Amino acid sequence: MVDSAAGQRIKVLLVDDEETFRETLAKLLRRRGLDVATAANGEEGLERLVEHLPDVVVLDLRMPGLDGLATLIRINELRPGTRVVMLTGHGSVEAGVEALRGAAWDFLLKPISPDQLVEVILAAAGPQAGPPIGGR
Amino acid sequence: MKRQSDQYTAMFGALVGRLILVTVLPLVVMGIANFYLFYSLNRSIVVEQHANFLRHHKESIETFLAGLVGQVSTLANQYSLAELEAGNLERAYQVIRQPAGVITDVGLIGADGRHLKYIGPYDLANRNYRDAEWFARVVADGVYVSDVFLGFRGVPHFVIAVKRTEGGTFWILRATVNTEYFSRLVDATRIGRTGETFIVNSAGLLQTKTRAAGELLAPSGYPDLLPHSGIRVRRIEQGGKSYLYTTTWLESPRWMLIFRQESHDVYGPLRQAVVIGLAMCTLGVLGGAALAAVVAGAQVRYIKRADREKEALTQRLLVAGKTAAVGEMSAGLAHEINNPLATIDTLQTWIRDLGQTSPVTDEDRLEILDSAAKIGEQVYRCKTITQGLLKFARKSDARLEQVDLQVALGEMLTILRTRARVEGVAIEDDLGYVPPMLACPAHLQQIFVNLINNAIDAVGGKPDARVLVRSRFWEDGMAHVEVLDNGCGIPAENLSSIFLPFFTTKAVGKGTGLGLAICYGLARDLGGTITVESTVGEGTAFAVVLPLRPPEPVTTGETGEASS
Repeated sequence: MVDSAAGQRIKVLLVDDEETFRETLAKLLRRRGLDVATAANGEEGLERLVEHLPDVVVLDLRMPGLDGLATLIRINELRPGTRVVMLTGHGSVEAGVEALRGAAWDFLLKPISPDQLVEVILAAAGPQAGPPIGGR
Repeated sequence: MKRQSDQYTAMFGALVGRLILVTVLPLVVMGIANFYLFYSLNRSIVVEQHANFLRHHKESIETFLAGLVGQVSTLANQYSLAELEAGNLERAYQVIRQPAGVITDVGLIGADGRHLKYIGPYDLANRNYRDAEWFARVVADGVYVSDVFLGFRGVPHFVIAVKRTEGGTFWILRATVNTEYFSRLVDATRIGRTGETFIVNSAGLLQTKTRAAGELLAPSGYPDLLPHSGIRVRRIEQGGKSYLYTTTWLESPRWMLIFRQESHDVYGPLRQAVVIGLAMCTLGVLGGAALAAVVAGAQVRYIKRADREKEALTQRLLVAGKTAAVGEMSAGLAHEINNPLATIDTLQTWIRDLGQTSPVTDEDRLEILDSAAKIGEQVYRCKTITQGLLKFARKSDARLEQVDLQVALGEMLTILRTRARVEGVAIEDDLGYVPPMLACPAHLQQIFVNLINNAIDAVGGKPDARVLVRSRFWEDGMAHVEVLDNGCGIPAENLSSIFLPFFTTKAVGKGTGLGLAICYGLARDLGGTITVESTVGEGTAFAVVLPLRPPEPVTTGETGEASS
């Protein structure tokens, strides 16, 4: 079991409109001991944020409706200090810069191996860890 | 875009026509002006010529008549009646007969009117002239020149008579003028083919022989018999002909000297000049036409070359436009392929994680199988995208084919939806049946991909962004495809410019401004049209109307794009 600094299980919220990706990744993270909630879009993500109170949010950039950047800003308003890892399949530099400026913890490009993602989530959940510099 | 040869022929014709007009019109105006100038000049010269001639001729005839009268008077005064009767009349006859033949005969007439002596060809010796008009006149006036009359001899003639008073009584010396001679003298100068000179008396009767004006003593037909001074020129229609009459009155006798010439003859030189002028004009026109043909030919060749260059440029633009369209789509494609790849990566990690636990439970085995199936789905997703891309890239040649527009639009939408999804835009379709149409698939694709890409750009970033693509076959026999969006709309001032090349409202580097220009050109090549309606803030509707077959075989194959 992977625990947070407070000794509890690390809580993760996955927000992505790709259902198979989201649910498989959720199962995979749960099997590795994380407490995972999922949401299919930005609005749903904000609801889960309040219910689930995650340590780390993994947020897809491009989604129908409220997109990743808008959701990121709302998350920072609702729960400042929540670590957000942005994910995107769209390799645009502008989006990355904007995401980091919007106080994302990290910015990752799809496809990313789940092992790597887990490392980033663990790093993000660690209390003493500073944010990595730039994206991967 | 290729001009047909008959278009060039029409252009050539129009050019030649205009050039000829430009060359010929001044020539014709100048010709008419010259004609009038020459005509009036010629007329005044002719009139002056005729007047001069008649003035001089009048003088010589008067001199001639005065000379005759003088000779007869001199003889009458020189000799007594007895001397003349004794043989001097013969000598006198010989004197005044010079020049030869001017006098037909001479006679001596007593106060009682009896012919005292006669020398001449007629048998008039015993005639009595007591009742003759000329006798009365000479008795009264002393000297008399008669009009032409028939007299006892029955031959037209006129006489010069002089009265001599001698010894309480008088006698008369009379000379008969030879009308043949006099007529020749009057009509001595020939002008033109029909010009003739003659004399009429105050009653308008001809006093000299004429060639065409009439018999001696017949009316001449000249209407104005009132004596006038100086020279008068009149144009008179007579017997269906037009004559130029020049007239003057002799002092004594009161005869009118007339010169007349057919106008036709008078203006002969003028007509000749006109014929020459017309010939020159015609030559000028022909020369102008030849020049026009040469110039127009060169111009049309130049336009042909320019058209060919334009066509080549258009082909290059087409390629550039396609490249730009592919570039616009590549961002969307990356997203659409990266997403399934990420899912596959996650699924394979999941399978590995499950497989590593030992023993593998039945539940885990089901999970593994399920995940493998899901990997298959994701691979299929990727395949759809790459196949669509290949189709898009392959359809680059300009061959005409039977196209099912409904199916073709569906294929385009598949690939365009990948981009649209990234932009958060929903593409709806309402594709109705269109009969198979003869068109170039690559061009159709370029038209609709451009229009739909534009629509996606127009609605991008808007909540509830929608693009609708609708196809219908109408009763007018045309395929109607509409691309509607609920985007920002096009301001009215830009509507007229959007089909112009390089017109773009996108930021520098974002759009080439070629898309719609190319669409417009391609649709026109297929015999169709593109129209646009737009309301700012509400959306835009592009309507593409295409016939089932192009109006004429669009030339294909030679386009550089296809072979590259």
